[in-house]
Amino acid sequence: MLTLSEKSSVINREITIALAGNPNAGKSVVFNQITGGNQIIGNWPGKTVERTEGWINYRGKRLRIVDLPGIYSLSTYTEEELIAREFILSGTPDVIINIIDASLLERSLFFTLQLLELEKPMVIAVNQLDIAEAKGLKTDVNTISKLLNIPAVGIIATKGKGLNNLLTTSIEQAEKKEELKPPAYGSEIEKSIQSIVDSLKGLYPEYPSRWLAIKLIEDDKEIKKLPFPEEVLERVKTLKDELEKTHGEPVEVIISSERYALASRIARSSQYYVKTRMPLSQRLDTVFLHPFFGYITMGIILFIAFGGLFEIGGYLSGLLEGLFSYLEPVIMSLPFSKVINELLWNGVLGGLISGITIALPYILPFYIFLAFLENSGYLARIAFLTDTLMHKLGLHGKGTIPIIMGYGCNVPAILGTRILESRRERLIASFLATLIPCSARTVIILGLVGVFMGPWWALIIYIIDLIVIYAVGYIMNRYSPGETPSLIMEVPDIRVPVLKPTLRQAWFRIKEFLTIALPYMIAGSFVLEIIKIANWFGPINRVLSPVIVKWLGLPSITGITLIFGILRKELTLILLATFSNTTNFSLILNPRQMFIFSLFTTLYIPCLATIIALKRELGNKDAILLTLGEVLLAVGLVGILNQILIHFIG
Amino acid sequence: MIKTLSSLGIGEKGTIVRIEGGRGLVKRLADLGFIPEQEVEVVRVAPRGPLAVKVRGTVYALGRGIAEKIYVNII
Repeated sequence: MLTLSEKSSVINREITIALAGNPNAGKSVVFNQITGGNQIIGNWPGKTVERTEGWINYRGKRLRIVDLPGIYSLSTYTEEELIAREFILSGTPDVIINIIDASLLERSLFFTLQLLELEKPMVIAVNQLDIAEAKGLKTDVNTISKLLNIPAVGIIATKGKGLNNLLTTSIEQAEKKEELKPPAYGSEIEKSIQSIVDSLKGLYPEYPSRWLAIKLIEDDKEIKKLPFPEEVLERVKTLKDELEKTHGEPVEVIISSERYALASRIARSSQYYVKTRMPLSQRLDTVFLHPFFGYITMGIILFIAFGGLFEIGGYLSGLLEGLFSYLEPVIMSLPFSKVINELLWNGVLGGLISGITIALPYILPFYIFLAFLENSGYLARIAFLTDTLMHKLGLHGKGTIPIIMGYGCNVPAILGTRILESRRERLIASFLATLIPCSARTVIILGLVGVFMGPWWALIIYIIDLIVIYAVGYIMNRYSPGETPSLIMEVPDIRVPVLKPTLRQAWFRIKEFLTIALPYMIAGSFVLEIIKIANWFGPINRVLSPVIVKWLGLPSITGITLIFGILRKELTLILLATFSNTTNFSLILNPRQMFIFSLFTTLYIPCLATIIALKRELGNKDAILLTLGEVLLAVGLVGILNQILIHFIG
Repeated sequence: MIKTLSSLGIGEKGTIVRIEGGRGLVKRLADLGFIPEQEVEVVRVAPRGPLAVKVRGTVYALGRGIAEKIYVNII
């Protein structure tokens, strides 16, 4: 047993290291290399931004590593930037490791300079020295260290090189606890900064005063919320006006220019260029971003991947179902009454099992593939290529990303709309994402139309679905007030993704499915079983019959399956088999009905978990409006299609 | 000769003269390195769509709307 003082000394010895850097600088790779498997993934409190932490024992010290979101700047332009800034300013990290990309030194140092303004102990990890070299850039790490006056360590994270040195240096810095002095910008700016620092007279001691002064000049959103004495604000205003008059630029641009001027001076003195041949990534881009071949390549990649993934998914889920079927006799022979056993099997385990047989074979491989696309840099190319098209739907190229995510599961797709800037875009993208056939709906389309009518008919459903999405997006864009913001997005070099961070990203997405969707799937099965026991199916079918039988031309039995499809879409097909005592659907549905049924289940309503996700992201009102809108859209559209089909083929 | 960035073709370079836009946009672009006197190069152009623009070694996709607001002096 430890005494209290011993316990606190153990806690005291824990050193918190924050990893900060630009997106694609290799933060996740460094994080994985350092922590190994010992990590937890969650969200920042109250945010949907991913938070990863890990612990290791290193040379007798307990290290806690926090991976901050990848950002370009420490303004408060995005949620990620705000999170990183607040975490560093809160004083929690004992030392910051700033991971910079040697192949993009100037831009990386722009961010480094902003970190230095926070005056916390810091070490620079100059990463991707190998990639820089391939681009013909020779980097002198010592010069960077000397010019910034803090330790810098050269590393190649993908190969694990330099990481021991990085950790030892970081621990040293953390234990020294000396506040560092940020490098000075141009003398004119520094004079203005100093003048504000003087007027602050130690106000808000929790913030470094020089930083506070810079943020006041920059008109920072968060800092502006704090109360300041009138004379401080007046001095800031006078100085700002003076600066803007002499430079003829907005003051934020002047400060950014100062940082870039310094960053570029440091980069020029610490790096030199040797001529090399064009890197592979750029040669690939002549195809990937080509105005004609780019689209062809994208089509081929997505078509093969989607086809392959669902082929594999079908096979794996068959195996899993076979495995789970051994469980049924075990549960059914439990020493409870038949009703309880059935409630256990169908009501509790049924939901869990079908969740697993969707999640593992379909959703997981899909998100691994997507994370692979993202980390290789190809997803950014897709966003570039689709930008023009997406503008017609009121989105820009980045909007394609949540929509593609929807093919796995709509829930992460809706949470993924956060990458879009305006509420209008998020609203449109969320609605479009709910119309995407997710894995569960794919199971229905392939299991019904694909099996009994042929794969080309299944493809037609996908194409009709895309047409509907296009039309809906077009109309929403046309009639909802506001404009579509333009695309601003980095197109990182194409590279081979590192396995572990890629898997981690896939896991983060699937976790959203498991925590948000799965509980509703289980609860849904339970309610369904209760209704089955109470024998309410007949009345429900009768109420729905005008729409189901007359308008959509489906057998009345499908009414109840569609009600339960709200809980889990694939239930529609499972229940249809249960009620008609056959999995040979050609005995109960004719080809027109199969086609209509599949299309209708794809479009008719977002599943319950998706509605919950909509509610979380957009609020009650819009979630209800979107859901009702979708019901009306599906009943109207699919009904008309049915009437046309009846007219022509009977 | 001063032109908008959107009118440049693949491989053409220019130095930024000014950016006409709201403060938010100008600041965000400045953070990414798009500041006056900075050299930029158009790497790829999607017809009637975005431009891939290289600045300080990084390639950014810029929507046409934004590229129309950036004025450059062609080199």
